[in-house]
Amino acid sequence: MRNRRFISFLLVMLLGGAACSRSAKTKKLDIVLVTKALDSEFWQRLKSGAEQAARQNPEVRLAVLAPEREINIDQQVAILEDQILKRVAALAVAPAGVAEIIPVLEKARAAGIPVLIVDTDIPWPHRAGFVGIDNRLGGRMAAEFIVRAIGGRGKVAVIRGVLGVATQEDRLAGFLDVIQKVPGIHFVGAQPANSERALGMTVMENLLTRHPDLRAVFATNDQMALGAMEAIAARNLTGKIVLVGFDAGREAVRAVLDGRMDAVVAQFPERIGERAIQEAIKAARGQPVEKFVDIGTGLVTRENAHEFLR
Amino acid sequence: MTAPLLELRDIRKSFGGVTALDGVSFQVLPGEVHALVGENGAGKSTLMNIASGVLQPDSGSILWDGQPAPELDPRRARQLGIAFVHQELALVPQLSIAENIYLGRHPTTPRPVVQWRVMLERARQLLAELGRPLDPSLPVSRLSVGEQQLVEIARALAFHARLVIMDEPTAALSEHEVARLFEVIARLKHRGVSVIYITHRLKEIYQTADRVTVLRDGRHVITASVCELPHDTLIRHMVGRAAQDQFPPPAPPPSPTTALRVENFTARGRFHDVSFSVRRGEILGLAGLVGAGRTDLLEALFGAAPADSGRLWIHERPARIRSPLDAIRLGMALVPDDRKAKGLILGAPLIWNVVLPSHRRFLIRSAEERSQTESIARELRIRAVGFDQPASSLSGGNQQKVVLARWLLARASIFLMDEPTRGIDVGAKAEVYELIRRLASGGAAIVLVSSELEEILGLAHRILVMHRGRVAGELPREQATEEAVMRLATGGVA
Amino acid sequence: MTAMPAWLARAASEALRRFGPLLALLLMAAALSLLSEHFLTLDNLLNVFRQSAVNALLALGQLTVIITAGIDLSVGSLLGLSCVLAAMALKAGVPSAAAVLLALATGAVLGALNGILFTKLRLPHPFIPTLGMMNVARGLALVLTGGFPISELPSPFRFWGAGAVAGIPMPVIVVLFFCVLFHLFLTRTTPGRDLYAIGGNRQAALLCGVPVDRRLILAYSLSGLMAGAGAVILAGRMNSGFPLAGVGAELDSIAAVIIGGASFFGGVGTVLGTLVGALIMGVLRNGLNLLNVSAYWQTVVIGAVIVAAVWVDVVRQRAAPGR
Repeated sequence: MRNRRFISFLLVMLLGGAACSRSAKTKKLDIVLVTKALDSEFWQRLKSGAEQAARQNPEVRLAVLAPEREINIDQQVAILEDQILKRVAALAVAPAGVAEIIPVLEKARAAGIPVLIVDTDIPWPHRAGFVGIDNRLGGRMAAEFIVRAIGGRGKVAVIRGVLGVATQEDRLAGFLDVIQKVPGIHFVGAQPANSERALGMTVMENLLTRHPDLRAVFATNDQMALGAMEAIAARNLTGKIVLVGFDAGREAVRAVLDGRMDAVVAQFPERIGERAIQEAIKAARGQPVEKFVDIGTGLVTRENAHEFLR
Repeated sequence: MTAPLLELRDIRKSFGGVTALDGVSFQVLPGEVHALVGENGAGKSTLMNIASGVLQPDSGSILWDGQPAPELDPRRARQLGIAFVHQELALVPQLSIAENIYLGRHPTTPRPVVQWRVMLERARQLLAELGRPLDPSLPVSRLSVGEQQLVEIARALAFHARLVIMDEPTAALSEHEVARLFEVIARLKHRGVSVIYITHRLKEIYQTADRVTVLRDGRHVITASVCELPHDTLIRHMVGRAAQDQFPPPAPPPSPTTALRVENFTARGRFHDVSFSVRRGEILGLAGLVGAGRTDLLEALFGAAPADSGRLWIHERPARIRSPLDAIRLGMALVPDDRKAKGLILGAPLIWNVVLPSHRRFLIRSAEERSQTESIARELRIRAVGFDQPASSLSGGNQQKVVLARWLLARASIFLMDEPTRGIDVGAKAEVYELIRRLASGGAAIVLVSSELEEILGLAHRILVMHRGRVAGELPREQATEEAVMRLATGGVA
Repeated sequence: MTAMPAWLARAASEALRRFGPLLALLLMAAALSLLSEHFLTLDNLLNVFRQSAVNALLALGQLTVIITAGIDLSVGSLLGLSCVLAAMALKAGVPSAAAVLLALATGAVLGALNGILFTKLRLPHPFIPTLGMMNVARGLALVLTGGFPISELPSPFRFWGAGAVAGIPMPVIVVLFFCVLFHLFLTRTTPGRDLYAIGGNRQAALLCGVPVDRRLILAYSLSGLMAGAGAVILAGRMNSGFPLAGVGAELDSIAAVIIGGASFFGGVGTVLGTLVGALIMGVLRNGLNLLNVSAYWQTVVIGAVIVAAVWVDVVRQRAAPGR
């Protein structure tokens, strides 16, 4: 009776789901990349780099999955649990947490699935390898730029991502390495904005209210930097406060070109994604994997910004 | 013999396996007021829903002005000139009188722009024709129920209705407003508009109708002119058995023990300085116009509404009642005026509605609850398909009996009854009166609020009359006449 | 209206109300087992139960509140705060059993506070106090931890979330335990029945002698208690008390209750339905994960299922009004 309509509704929905997966009979190498989220250009570019590597290896079947937000740690755990069940050939993971993720990675190890860590390193001894960047160096580069830009004197703040995550801690640590050695600079603190744009804007507004004489800000990722940029513009302070971001997505690079942002530490997310999948393929095939791959960082400024816009 | 305006021929209608109308024929002449009566379930609403196009008959035909009107739907019915004023008024409270009258059909210029002034003027005229020159820009929420009903009638007229069907129009009106409604109906008649008047209040039929049709169990019983059909015969046709006296023989005189005593009971803005007492076995009638404060008083006595000052004695012991739970523990019971909104949990099974106050132990004892409910339902002749059915599936009369059953089970000794027979049919009313009398002779004290004067006069030992929140006077049964009560209720002196 | 005899329409409506969600769950499971070979394996089913456990616990508490025609928006934040307090206590050397009790007590007490604010201040809707509590509790969790997660919890504590007995994961046992408890409470006790009465018609319940305020405080306290229980399970599973735990969990719990057939207007709802609702959400998420469908699409699907559930309920009501 009425169940009929419910059934047909379900079938329509499931057909949609079926369209996303086809259980082929040919023997494919299932590689799964699980990132922290897919809500920023950084992760999207990492994903496209990964897909590039997969295309170069036709026997590889790549799936890229992520929770809705970077803070949904339990959702990432659930995704990993389900993928482990499918006995995929290899996992590449950008972990959203540390202690929360290790247990499920141990399950992967017990199931014989090699796990590659991407972008954010964690102290888990059984990882097959790490592909990312030296975040500490990136932080230092940002700090050096700021010190030059404000002549070594003035108030400086940091807007950072989720607490307790290695990437963010390293960027901040590198930044402080340099800043703390300069006597004329007053560091007013590091505020978290969960790598989200809207939160970045709010945090920046609060910083400006508390420190109207703020001279420079380092945001440890692009999204937060772009949010901070809006807050600065709203108070007509563009150009008066030095703003440095991290990631160098297209939008941020254009902002540097336009003069709304001063510099961005460049990661090369496509290269990270591509290399991560290449190493994962090696691991899946049982070949030796490079333990630590540093893709390298660069600094985008007004002078070289146009190079970064391909 | 003038041709009928509306004619329904041999209408049959069933719902599932239940026959609601079994070949009913019915005619309304132009310019007549035709009353339609019958017990609950007799088929009156179904017949009117068919006449107004809301339902389709299974067989039979409808003729309007002598022409067949097949496939009648509400829109077509409105176009023909049939208007239905329901018991639950369908007005938008925040909009003005004029806007409600012209809802959906505003007078506009060729570009669809509403002509406000035209609308207000036309509304003003309509209201004047109906004898009530209200300001048409007033929001409807500020009007009394009687005035709101008038707006609905004006709405019908605005669309040149030739037949207005009114369903229980006086249920929520005071005596004063009822008189005004009759004036309006007379004016409609004068304009040549016919009125079909559905009611349980038989007295009104004799005051306003020309002819009356009686339905019983889905069949037409009789149609006659009102002067040819005396009251008792009318009831006999409705009920199908010899008319008994509407009221049972009077209850025996009460005992000297006081069950409830109230002194200087006050709630600012609602009632002031009310003092009275009720003895065991006594029925105290509480009369007054709508708004006199009777419902507020009962609810405050029961602990359901706050009171500012006053003292209470229950069975001659001082009492403090801060919540209905306190009142119930002292043996009090409240039968609220609106059983759907306050008296019953409509979605809950019948059993729950019966046992809720009396079965308060931690664990539910289903078997005990069921057997007690069964026996009390038998005693009160509650007709229900099953005791797990929701209370909403019962008829009005049976619903009211459930409320009464609840308090019988709780062994209440002081009953506060607010309009206990509102909206229930003749047969159930008689049973309720019988129950009230039995309770009184068994020693219960009863405070009875009713806007049907004859009900109070027929049942009470004494009558307290309230006016604007104060006790205006007290009349023993022998001295109570309609005029005496009315005089006190409207502020005069006894 | 279909030409169906009245008794049949009522029986069908009753069957749909009781078994509709269960039927939907079974159909979904059947379809997924056809689409993915991994779905119907023991390991995966255990995964599903584990992943649905926290939501199921929160949903039981939410059911209690929704039955009274109320809502509790604070359960996600209460979970986070309980998580954090338990983790801090464990780090300070408090024994695991006490930490568990601390989590439960935090939830119950703050839940009772929700109820007290709602009833004593005569607020028009429980939306108001629970929304406030949602923010205050989350803020407190962040302030107490400075934003950092507290990790590496002792294994006796973790046992509740990560352990197993005879191969059955502890979260499943805990959920079943509370399901039985709540079922008995709601169907066999007077306070439980009072909650349905209050949801059906608050004024009439009051006039029947139901101590409405007391019962409402109890309902919100139970909801908070379940948030505390969810915190213990989650912290055990995640091996950390992180202050952002449970963000968005209140919406998931409401979804589970509604999918399970309860009515927003109160007076209707069962434990079985709620459990099935939570499982439906867990099965959907798990199934879509196995089919490699992105998390964003999962949210869309769950939203569609909620709408479908409410629609089925409305259709059912029209076929047999009054129940």
